[in-house]
Amino acid sequence: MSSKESNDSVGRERAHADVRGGIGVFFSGGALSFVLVAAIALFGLLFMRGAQSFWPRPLHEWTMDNGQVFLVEEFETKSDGSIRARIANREFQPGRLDFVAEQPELIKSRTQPENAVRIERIENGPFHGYLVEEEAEQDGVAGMLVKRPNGEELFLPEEAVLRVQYPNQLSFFGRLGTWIANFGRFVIEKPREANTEGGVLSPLVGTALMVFLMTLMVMPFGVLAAVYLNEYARDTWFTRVARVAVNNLAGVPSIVYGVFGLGFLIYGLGDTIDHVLFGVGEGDASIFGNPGLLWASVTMALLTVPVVVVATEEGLRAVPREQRDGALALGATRWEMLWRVILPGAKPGILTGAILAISRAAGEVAPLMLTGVVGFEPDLPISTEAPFIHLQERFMHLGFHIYAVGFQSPNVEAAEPLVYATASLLLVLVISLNLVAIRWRTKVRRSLQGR
Amino acid sequence: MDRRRIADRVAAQVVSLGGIGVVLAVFFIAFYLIKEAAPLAADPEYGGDPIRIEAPVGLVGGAEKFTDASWRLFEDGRLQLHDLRTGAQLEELEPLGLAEGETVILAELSVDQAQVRFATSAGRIGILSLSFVTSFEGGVANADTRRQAFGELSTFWFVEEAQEAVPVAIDAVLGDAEARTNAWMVAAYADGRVALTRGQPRYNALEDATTWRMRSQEITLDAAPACVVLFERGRFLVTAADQVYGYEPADKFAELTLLGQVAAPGGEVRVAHELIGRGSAIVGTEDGTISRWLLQPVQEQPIAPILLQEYEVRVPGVFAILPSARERVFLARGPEQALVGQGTSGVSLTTFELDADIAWMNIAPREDYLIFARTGGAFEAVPLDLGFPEVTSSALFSKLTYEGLPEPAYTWQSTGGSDEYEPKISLVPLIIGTIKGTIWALLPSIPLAVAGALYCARFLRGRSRETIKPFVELLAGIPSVILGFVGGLYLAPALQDRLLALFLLPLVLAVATMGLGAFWARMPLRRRKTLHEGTAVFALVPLYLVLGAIVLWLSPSIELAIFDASFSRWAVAYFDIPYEQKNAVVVGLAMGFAVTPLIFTLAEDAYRNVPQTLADASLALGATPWQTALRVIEPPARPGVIAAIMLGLGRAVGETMIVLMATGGTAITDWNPLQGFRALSANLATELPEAPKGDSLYRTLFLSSLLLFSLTFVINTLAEVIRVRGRKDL
Repeated sequence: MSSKESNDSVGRERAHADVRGGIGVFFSGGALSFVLVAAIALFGLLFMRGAQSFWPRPLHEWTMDNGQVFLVEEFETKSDGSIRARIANREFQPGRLDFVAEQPELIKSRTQPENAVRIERIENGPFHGYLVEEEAEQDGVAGMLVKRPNGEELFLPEEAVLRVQYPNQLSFFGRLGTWIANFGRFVIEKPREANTEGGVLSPLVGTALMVFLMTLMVMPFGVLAAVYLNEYARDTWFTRVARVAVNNLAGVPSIVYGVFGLGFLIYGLGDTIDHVLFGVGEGDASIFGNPGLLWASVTMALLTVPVVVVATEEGLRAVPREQRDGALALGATRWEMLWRVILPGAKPGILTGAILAISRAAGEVAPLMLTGVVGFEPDLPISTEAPFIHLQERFMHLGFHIYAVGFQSPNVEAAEPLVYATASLLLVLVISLNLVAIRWRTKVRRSLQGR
Repeated sequence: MDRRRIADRVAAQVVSLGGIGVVLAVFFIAFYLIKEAAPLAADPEYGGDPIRIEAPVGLVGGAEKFTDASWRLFEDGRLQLHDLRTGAQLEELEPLGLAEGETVILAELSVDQAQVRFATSAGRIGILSLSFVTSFEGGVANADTRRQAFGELSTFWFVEEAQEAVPVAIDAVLGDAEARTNAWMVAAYADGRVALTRGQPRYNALEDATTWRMRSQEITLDAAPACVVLFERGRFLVTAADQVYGYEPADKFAELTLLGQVAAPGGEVRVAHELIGRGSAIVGTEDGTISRWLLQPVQEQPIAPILLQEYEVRVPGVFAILPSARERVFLARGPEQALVGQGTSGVSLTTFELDADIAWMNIAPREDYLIFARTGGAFEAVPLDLGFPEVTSSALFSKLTYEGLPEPAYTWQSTGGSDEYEPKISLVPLIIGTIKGTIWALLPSIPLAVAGALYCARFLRGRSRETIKPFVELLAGIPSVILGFVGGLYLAPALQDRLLALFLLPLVLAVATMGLGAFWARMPLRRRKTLHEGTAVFALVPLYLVLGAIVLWLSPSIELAIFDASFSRWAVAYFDIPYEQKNAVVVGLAMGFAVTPLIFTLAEDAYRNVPQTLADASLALGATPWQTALRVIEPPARPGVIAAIMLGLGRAVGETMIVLMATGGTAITDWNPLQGFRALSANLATELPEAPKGDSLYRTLFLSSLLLFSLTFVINTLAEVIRVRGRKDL
């Protein structure tokens, strides 16, 4: 065998390895790319659909082959070729359904009448039709006279009408303005009609209240536990077990916390409080012995303790030893060192913990289903009357709102666009919280690595 | 100075107390779950201070549901009510209206203890319905002021005219005029005759009254019948000597058809009684064998009497079966001892000795007392606590034959329409559901996350790594309710239309990746500056986006072209498998979004922590970057990666919202990925809010949450151990 031949074969092997290696690298890169693409698709889907739900769609008048006339907002073409469209005027539809799906060949003519009107109402969802008389009166009640697409006239009392829009007359900027206004109303309005209409103010406030109460409870205790484990406890088997336990608890399914909350907090503590403080006897309506805001917050606080402990410990470890030694050398007691030197130094870690806890609590739903969330309760759990915060009441929650509207609502189709909007809102909230947390944590880690 | 010292001491105490408190609180959760589930395993308790009064014994009797008062029916038709606290007689009535000299010769209590079916010496047969009225003395409602009295009593006659023959055994049920259900009665006579009587309600709107039209059919057995038990729709079991016969009315009640004949174990049948719901009967035979029987079709056989199970404990000389009014529990009574048995799982719960002077006995309506009448004229109620007899290990984990279901099965269906419903509480379908969901979540996640992590840690450079890693980490924070919603409302219908894309997409992307990789490898080295290991991802992301969109868009048309229908519909027809829109694949895809970032982040750390010097040495010796990654980086990082996968597993096992929203939620024991499932976690979320506090379903659910807790605890601890070991090796 000549040396040239052997060189050749080495070169060929090397080239083979290169091809195979290249494909290997590309496949591992492909895995990462797939994850990224899937994430982009998910975000895209939610944000697109969420944004679309506020976009004023033009009203199309469909004249069907069989002579029926509809005035619809067209949504999408389904896989079987039919067009899915919102027909509105729920009270006149069989089964009170808002949507129809029709094959395009059954639609004889399809126009966009300038004067088509979309009226948002207190009841029965939106109305599609034409305005006949803006200021009419019927049986002494002021209101407006409108015409359904099929020509039948209908009287809408003033208090039943929320807004009148002419979507077909809007310019692009007009649409944009309506879009922004719709979004604003979505955030500041309470839900109506079993969540199919209106906004998400009640779930938003409910979530914020629950998270606020949870933070009040979890932060002192979480930090206390972390300080104890990291600063006071000696390295014994107890602390080692405790650390493993705390770490493990982060992995315990959230529903298990819900089970604990229902069994121990509500049926145990709550019933006892009712009995001792309020004298509630057997058979009476319970006050704290029911799922409610307080117990949901406590359950969430338990759930997020490990998050806070882990992040705070990381923050505590990031405080350099020299600072501790320096403080002690200058005559500070251990408490003074902790209070003046270590805790300020550990602030980024503690804040990371707080934000991670908040984002976890804002997105977690399963334990709430057992401890106090409710599908539809537009009244807020806060009021101007003492005691201002009604801790014993059930509350609405953004995450549960998604579940309740998307899966338990009698009219899922009508509510679906709003669910996408709610999901996007929740996603933006949680993601921004996480982004902040990640930035803080990077800071902590850098100072850890700096040493 | 002193104040500072004191502050320091106090702080140390407070921090230690608080810290230890929090840690203990955490252990308390586990302890509490155990505490709530533990009573399930408790043995039945019997005994304690009896309530005892002196009163005549009668033929049959019992207590009303509060056990405040006891009633008895006498041979001459009198009905008495005595207060159990004072012993005073409250009432005496004669509700049957018997003729001169006529006596009650047969009287048997119904399961709900609200009716007495009886036969008289004149051969007349009927049902006496009892009711009680509870009032409170002095307007204060508590146990001391509670007073009981008979409410409306009525007698329904199946045989109202006097007959020559007197039955030896009867069983009867009332009909319901409003629900238009029939009344049924079966009577057996010493000469071998067995007669079934049907009462059909006829509502007369003019008089606003219901009349009952009675019809009878009879058969004659070769031997003298001993016991009869009615089942649904007039089907009945009748025993003669050691044979058990099943009959049903057929041909619009024109005749009685023999369904089957089976020999009972243990010789001559002495006693037979229905359990609550009339779906099964307990039979006791000569040598004390107790057995449970069904009269229903099982395993594609026609309806026939079926010997379901024999109880382990025998009751020699058994002569009475006394069922509980609350659940499928009964007491089999012999002269010296009694057995408490459970129906569904066929378990002998406990036995106890009986005194010789007991005239009759039964289990109180609320299962809280055993009621005895002593021949000397005394009446006793002894406290009884059966615990949770329905929750046995075989009920939780074994295949059982349930009333009305065609074959033995693992079934979870904890509640039904009525109080008589037989709870089915097998955890097996839930565990299978959890495992199934976990498998389908991990199947796509593990390769994607691990390979992606290797690439991110070892091939990506500087800034792109610093942005991509936190981005994937962010994904781990997406609330699972959003993923569940997307899975259930978007992915599920989308997948049904383009199931083929599940195979097509990986194929197309793999081919594209391979092509790009091969193209790159054949490029001369000096051209590899823009497209190299570190930038491949920037070429692949847009490529995948475009190809993915095209495949998903075209998939329905391709399916239509090849299969003449959507692939899912074709597959259902071709392989004859059921397809559920919200199935395990959908859950897997949605859960992938939750699990992949978790595994990715931890695996990336593991790959990252392998010292660069190792990689440098390998590259310097001439290994390609891929060889280095696979042979040098991967082995030391493996424990960390395995730990990451285990943590992902733990997450998938406990995930609730995704499973709840993206599956149909039927508890089935089927591994077919195109069908849904019900997981332990989702089951808790749906059933626990409805479960009455402290009852057997409530505690069973606590048991299942304990199972979930232990499962994830073990998985996570294992992951931690593996991780720490691996770090030591490094």
